Amino acid sequence: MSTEATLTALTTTRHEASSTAWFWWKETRQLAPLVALLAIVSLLIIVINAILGVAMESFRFQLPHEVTMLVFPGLFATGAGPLLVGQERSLRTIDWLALLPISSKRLATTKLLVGMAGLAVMWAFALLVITAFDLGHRDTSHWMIGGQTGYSGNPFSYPVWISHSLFVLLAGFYVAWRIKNQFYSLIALIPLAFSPLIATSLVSEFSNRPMAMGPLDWINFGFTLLGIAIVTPITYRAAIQTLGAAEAPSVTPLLDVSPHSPARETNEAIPATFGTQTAPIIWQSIHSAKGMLAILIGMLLISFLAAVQLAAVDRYRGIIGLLPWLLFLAPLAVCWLGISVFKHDGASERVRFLADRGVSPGKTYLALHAVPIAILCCSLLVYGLWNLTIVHQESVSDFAAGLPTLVTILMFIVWIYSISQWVSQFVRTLILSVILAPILALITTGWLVFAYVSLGFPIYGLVLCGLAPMLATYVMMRRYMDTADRPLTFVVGGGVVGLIVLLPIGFAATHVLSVPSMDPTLRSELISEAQRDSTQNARLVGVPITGFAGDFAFRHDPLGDKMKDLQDHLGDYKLDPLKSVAPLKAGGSDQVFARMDPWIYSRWHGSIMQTRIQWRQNQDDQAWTELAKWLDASATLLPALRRSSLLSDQEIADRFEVLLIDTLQTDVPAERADEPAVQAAKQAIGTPASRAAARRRAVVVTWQHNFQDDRGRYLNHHLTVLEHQPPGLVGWMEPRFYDSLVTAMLEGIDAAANRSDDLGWRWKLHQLHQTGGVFQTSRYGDDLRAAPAIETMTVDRVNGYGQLWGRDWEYVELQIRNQP
Amino acid sequence: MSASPKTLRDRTMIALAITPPIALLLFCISAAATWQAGAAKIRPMLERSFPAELIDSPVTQAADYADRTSREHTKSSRELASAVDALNEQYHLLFEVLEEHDDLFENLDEQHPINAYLNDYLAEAAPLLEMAKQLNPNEASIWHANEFGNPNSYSSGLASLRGLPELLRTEFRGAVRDKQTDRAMEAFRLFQGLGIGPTGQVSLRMLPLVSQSIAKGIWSEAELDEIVQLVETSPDLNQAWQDSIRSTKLAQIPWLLRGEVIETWRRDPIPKTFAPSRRIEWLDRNDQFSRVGGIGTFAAIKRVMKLQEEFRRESGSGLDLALQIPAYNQQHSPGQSKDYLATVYARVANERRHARTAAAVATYKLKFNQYPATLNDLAKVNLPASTTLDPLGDPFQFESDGETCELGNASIWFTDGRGYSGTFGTRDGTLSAILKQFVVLKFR
Repeated sequence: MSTEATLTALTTTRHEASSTAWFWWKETRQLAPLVALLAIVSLLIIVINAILGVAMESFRFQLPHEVTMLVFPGLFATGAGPLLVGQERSLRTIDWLALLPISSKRLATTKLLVGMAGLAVMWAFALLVITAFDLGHRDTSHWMIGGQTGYSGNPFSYPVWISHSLFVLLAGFYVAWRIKNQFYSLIALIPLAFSPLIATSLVSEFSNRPMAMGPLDWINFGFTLLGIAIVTPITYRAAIQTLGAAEAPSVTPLLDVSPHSPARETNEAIPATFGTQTAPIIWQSIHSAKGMLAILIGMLLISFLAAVQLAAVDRYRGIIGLLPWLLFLAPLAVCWLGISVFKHDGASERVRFLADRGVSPGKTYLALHAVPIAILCCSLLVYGLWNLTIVHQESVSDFAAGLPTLVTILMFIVWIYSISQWVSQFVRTLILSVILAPILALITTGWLVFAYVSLGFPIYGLVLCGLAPMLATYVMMRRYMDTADRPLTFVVGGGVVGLIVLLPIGFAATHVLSVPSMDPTLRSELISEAQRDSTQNARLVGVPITGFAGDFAFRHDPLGDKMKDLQDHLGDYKLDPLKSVAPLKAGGSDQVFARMDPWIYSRWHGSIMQTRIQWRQNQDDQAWTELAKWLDASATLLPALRRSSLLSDQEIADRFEVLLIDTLQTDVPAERADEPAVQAAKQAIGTPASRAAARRRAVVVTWQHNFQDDRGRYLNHHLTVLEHQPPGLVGWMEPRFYDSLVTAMLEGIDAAANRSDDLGWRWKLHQLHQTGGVFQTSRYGDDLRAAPAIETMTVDRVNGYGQLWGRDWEYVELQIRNQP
Repeated sequence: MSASPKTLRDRTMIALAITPPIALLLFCISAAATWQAGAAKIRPMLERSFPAELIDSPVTQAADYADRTSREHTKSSRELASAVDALNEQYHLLFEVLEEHDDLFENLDEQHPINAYLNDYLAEAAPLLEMAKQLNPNEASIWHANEFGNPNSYSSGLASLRGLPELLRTEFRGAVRDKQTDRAMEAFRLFQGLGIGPTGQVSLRMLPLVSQSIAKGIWSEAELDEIVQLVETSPDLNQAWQDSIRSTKLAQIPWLLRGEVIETWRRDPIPKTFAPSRRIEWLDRNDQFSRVGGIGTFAAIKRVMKLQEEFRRESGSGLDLALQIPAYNQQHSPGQSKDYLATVYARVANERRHARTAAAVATYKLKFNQYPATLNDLAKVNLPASTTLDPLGDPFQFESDGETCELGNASIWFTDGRGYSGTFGTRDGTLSAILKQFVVLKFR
């Protein structure tokens, strides 16, 4: 690309070669792809973040805030030097530039200035994005050094980041001028770029007192400025040296061919000793990228040793605190191993050479992948074996306890490697792919992990997505060998991206759609029914249940004098039934409805039981008055509860009826059958038809309000099935499950009204309320339903709707008989 | 590159390329084989403890439960339970005060400010108590609608009888305050009849109250004999320990067989798999815990803690762990911590010895009209010397001048309330960790 840029710039510029404008133009064109790429990727991240934020309301998976944006200028700084200098050196266009009548000083400074201008543009862009999208939130200014953020112990001071990126830019130019091999220069840049951080942690390691993040930020800033001061002059010197006249080659005897001469190796090694086509390509892969492979193996090894060390210690301060950073070398190495498949020194020439010799693309493909894959397999094997020897327990080492398993790591490696090798075939420039591949690998990995954890994407899907880029490069291999891969490669690439993005979404969509939604005509019918019913129920009278602990819970002071509390408030907790229903009675019988919490109901239920027990033991008038009071109040409360359009109130009303029927049948003697309280209680008990109507109204109205009450609180209602869904899909599935719930309940209501023994609705409700449970042993199953409701119903909570529907109590012929 | 015969270099190159993938594949295959082999081992291990049908289906568990319990009193016991709960809810302020007043028996002849409230409560509770006497409920024998194999199922009948122990404790307190020993004895008898296992919950323990009442000298010799008898018929600690381990294991069958995590209050959003070797390890550990004998002694606590420490420091390095998703160590520790349980059991055992010793002291006083000079004198009322020992094997602290005496629940006075599970270093710390509180019975 740089050759093209240089040549086109030369031909299109009418000015003299020394024209500053021309030179700036040429350099800028060389940098443009990097700037564009980084800008696109960073915007993509913002867009993904925004989409996730909107789509996943119930499950927030926010990508990092401003930090993402702060990283991109740094990435630009890393790439600028190698791209402007290293690229030209490796393609030898720099020699041609040196021949032009431009002074080396001008050449060097122009390149550096273009790089700095690019960095300024990147920073302007990053800050613009941060401001435009309002990323990050912090208590102190962005421009203060050592300030604390709300979300992280680490300060994010812009001056430090900016000066550090400047330092990286300069260091990038320095290594590019000094080291001719682009990859080596990039590797050399890594420790150099982190040197201020390393120096800072050395200071914290050897200082006598523990240091806070703020001062460390200042020290880091100081070291960065020092680094800029040191690197600037030596970069300049290195540039002048490189651009200056090359040293004359030393005189060597003609026969003594340098041991590293490719000529010699080719002559001596290849022709005679290989009998197959694959073996020499493998051999070539190793030999032509010896240094690169050695460095990548070294990175894997360093990362592994860091892990070994981390598994053995349990404090992460000072120097040890840097060890976790070394772990990132491993994914980076995997990424670059992927890049080494199609991009390393002379890679394109080699592929062309093989194509000319008629080696099949398949064979070339295998041979190119053989060495990196062998290295990765070795590393995985070492990791797997090492894990057999260590103890994965928090009490020994937190790090060791949290280690991902071999199969997990394998999956990650497949993703990273596969994406990287695809990038290296897709992108033509080494430096661009070296920078782009890690970013894309990171995004892909993050997306697939997200898909697995919160979209319920299956494991075989993960494998499929991991292998798709491998397939893409394989398909493109013949055209790639013939350098005829464009524009088809864009189509295939688009396919790969589409697959990775759309497959998880497709799976998620299928999963969501697998829960049937309600038939639209039925829905509109039910909604109009619900609207009609809820307007009818506009008037609400709440029942203030006196004597419930909740009323005084707010007044309760754990440190206060309990004895005084007892003296002052014990009376407040006494439940008076007639007082409780007085507002209901005052409201006129048919005009009001009541609401009751399961907790309050359990108090009511227990109190009735208490009076019944009392009455049984001592059947005098006083005990009867007490019981009659409760019967009377219940007779007022029950119909009011039935009139409520809240589903939970219908559930309570069911329990109420079970209780009243049991009370009337068991504890009311025949001679009291005509007492008004008994008559009222008998009147209050509904019929299957009246219950069905009340339940139906409550079901549709509650459903219309999304199972929330008028204050937006969920109604003692907890749909277990939602917990069994991928968390990211819960928000999408909830309305559909509510639809199923409503459909099943309407079936159940009809079944109860017709005294049908239908199993379907019960099974459906069990699936929704007790997902993963055993139907037969549940309260929806036949065994427990056959038992009397009074013995089996839950009193203090509603743990599944409809458990009492259609059971024997609904059809009982109420008979008041003499007690035995 | 003509097709000539393979040379050594060819083979070396190709071997170099294909050996690592093949080795990795072999590693993974052997891990998978280990997984399979391990998974096949779990069922036979379970079958050693449970019949096959019980392992297969919660339906059998339900049937098994129905066989063990009786439906006869279900309705009445539910009526009683809900009535007691409602009443206790009404009087919850009283219970809060009672919790703070452990000096309720200090002076039985003086009016206590709580008395009025206590009497109100007991008056209201009288019919319920009467019903409890008729029912004579035992929490283990009454059938409850338990939805086996479903979320929200509970297997302890105690969950529905939770108010009754509190009622009986309060009745006992009221009766002792009124010096009505027959009422108190009835309450104690009913309480023991509930068959509540060893527990750390204060509201479910009656013995400390009984010991305190013994020091008041209100009991007759025959009644003291009955107290001793009731204490002796308390649930056996070793059996309770075995039962607790067994029920934990039974509850974990879905996890053990299929790696499904159950009974978490909220499901883990990250799908996890558990290698069979981890589940086998858990079963082995459970078995090792179940082999610990002498539950209720300090030696048992030490043994349990040593086992726990061993388990904490080692983890199985099964080959199949490599195929777990996502991490090598995935937290899953069902059931209560075993050293906590062992400590609670030791506390309960000490409570029983303390109560029996107190009863012997009171009996001695009734027989010889003075308190014994030393604990050794209690041999005269047939108390074995081993009953007078605290958890560390030393005799309870005892001081007597014949007219009055003091009996501690440990050999030395230790600092109260500092004890929490794990401070077993010093003598002081050990006693405090097990007993939590130093209790002195003052016989006047």
